[in-house]
Amino acid sequence: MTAAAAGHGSSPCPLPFRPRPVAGESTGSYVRRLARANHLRPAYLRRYLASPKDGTIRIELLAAMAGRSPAALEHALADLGRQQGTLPHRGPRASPDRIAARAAIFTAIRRDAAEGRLSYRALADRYGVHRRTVLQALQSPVPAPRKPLPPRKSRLEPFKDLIRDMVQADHDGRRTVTSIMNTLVTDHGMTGISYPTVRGYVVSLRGTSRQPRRARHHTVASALPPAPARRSPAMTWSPAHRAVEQEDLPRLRDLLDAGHDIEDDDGHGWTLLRHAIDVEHDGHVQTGGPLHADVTAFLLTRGADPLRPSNGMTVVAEAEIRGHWLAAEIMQAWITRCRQPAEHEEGPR
Amino acid sequence: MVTGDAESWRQALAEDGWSRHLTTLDGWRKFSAAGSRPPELPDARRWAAMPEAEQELFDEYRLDYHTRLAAAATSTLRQVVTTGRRLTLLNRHATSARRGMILSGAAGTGKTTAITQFGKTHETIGQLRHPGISDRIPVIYVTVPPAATPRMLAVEFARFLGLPLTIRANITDVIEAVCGVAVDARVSVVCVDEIHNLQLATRNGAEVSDTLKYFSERIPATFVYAGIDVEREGLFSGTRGSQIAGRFTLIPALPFPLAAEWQGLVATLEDALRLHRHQTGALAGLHEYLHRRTSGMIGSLSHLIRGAAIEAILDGSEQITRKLLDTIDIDHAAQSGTARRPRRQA
Repeated sequence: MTAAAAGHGSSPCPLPFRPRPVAGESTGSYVRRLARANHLRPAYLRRYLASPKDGTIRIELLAAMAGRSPAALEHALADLGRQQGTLPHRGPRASPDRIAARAAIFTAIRRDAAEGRLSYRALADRYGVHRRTVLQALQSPVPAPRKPLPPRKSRLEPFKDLIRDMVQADHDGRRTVTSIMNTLVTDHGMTGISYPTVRGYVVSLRGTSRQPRRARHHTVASALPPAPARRSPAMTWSPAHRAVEQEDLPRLRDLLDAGHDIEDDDGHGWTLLRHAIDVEHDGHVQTGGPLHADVTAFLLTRGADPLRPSNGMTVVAEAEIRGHWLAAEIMQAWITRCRQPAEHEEGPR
Repeated sequence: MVTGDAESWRQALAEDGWSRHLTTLDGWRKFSAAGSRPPELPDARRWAAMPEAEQELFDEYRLDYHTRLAAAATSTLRQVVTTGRRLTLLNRHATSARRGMILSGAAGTGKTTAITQFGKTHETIGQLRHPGISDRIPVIYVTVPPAATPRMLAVEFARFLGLPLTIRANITDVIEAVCGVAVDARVSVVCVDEIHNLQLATRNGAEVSDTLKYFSERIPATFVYAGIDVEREGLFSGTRGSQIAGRFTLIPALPFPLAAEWQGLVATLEDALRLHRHQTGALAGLHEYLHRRTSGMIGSLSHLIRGAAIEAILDGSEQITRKLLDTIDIDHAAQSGTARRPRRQA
């Protein structure tokens, strides 16, 4: 009873084990880790921290129990911070003034080395840098950019073998990604991995689009022309195609900014835009989640051509037949808007 | 309800309230980190030269110091610490049936002081061995609440560790969390005070004893109990009692006989005093009087001397005399003097 009173008091005592919050994780995930570290049931700790009014987690209480300041938590936890929605930056990023400071040291070292008779060691001591840095300065006046970090590992890694076995056991390709996902979650305790991630990996193993969905929507399938644009094997995909498959918009943006081809046709009419429509519509059908068209819309704004034909069928027509009405309407509106100011742009390519 | 020795010791520590209780991790850590540094007494000339405000501040500090004089190393305390050290080493690789220690004796014989000092020693040794690691909790200190149920005892453990508890938590969850955290935090000594609150004859008492037993199976630690005259309160009777008797070493905490050790004890306490006009040896000369007043209880002795020291600072006499000691009231048990007689000459 005393403890219950302390829970609603002003200063609860900190938990015996207090893991650090990981930058960018959600409050829920942090509460879960905190509970596990202290052998408490996560639901129990969440209820304890929840405000009696609206059930949200009380940050001051969480901060006190985690032995950290509320400001530090707000800084670390993604759903508390003010800069919600910004992309977490990966890898080292030197600030401009640090680069400038380093360049200044390089210049000074080169000057000293040119006029004096100082040894590497003396130069290193004078500027408080390593002798390796002195060597670099003498080789080039411009500091080398920082080494890139090793690529981030996939959280799917421990489940990849399982997924491969499941896909191989499934000879006729009738098993849905949803069913694979369910098996992983219920039987193998997979948590925190989204449907698109699993789907991306399954598709990369299968290499082609799934037959079962086509079979289920046989009316749509029969309406398709005999040879629509086929997906090329996933192993041969370009980075942009991979980004579309994973619906990774920031990455797609970076690639296009870096000058990647907006169409990225594999030679058979399988463009980024077609791929996007396929992925979006498939995600909607498989998970029952709302239909969205953000990748399509983004590709359109970057100049992807909705009228590019493949086997005599434009992208917009294909979207309509498939049932991705949202993408179809966006593209229709896009086409009419583009035509109105300048009629002469009718023939693409 | 609770014994005089435990109360006086705890109240001395309960400085800023809740956080200073020994039965919370925070309070315990503060206690075991606290070293009592005696204030340096300035000589008469420097004292006279001090500004008045500074003198007041210094007196305040001295008052504070005298309220918690350092624990004197009595023979009981030494025995507890050495036996405890031996047991923790013996239990290091025991997989079950770990040995424990029970400290039993009358109120005011320094039981709580002895086990808390042992806990402090163990904590210090742990910190020396693993410097800079803060998530170890070498010692748990709990008291058995009056009329305890198993859940109340489990809650006491959880409260010490700082685990959040609501009325919703059931006993299984609490025990699970306590044991998990205790194992992860490498708890190696568990001190359970006021064990006499546990009556094996009652159903609740028997269940609490079983819970303690269960804790001792799950947590690889040495269990140290302290309580008033537990061997006479029936802690060792019955099936459960015989198991406890078979696993625990009993250390009796007795009132001090009027002997050399008592004299030494008085001298130690006198050495710790920081009074301007006190003559060294004056108190040691009164050791017979002090023994009569306190019936050889270390708790009462400490209370009497600390009380007199504070009185001496407050009234400005700055020395402890027989007359001053006469004015200090101490606990009823010691004052009536007939309640307990030393049963064994040490």
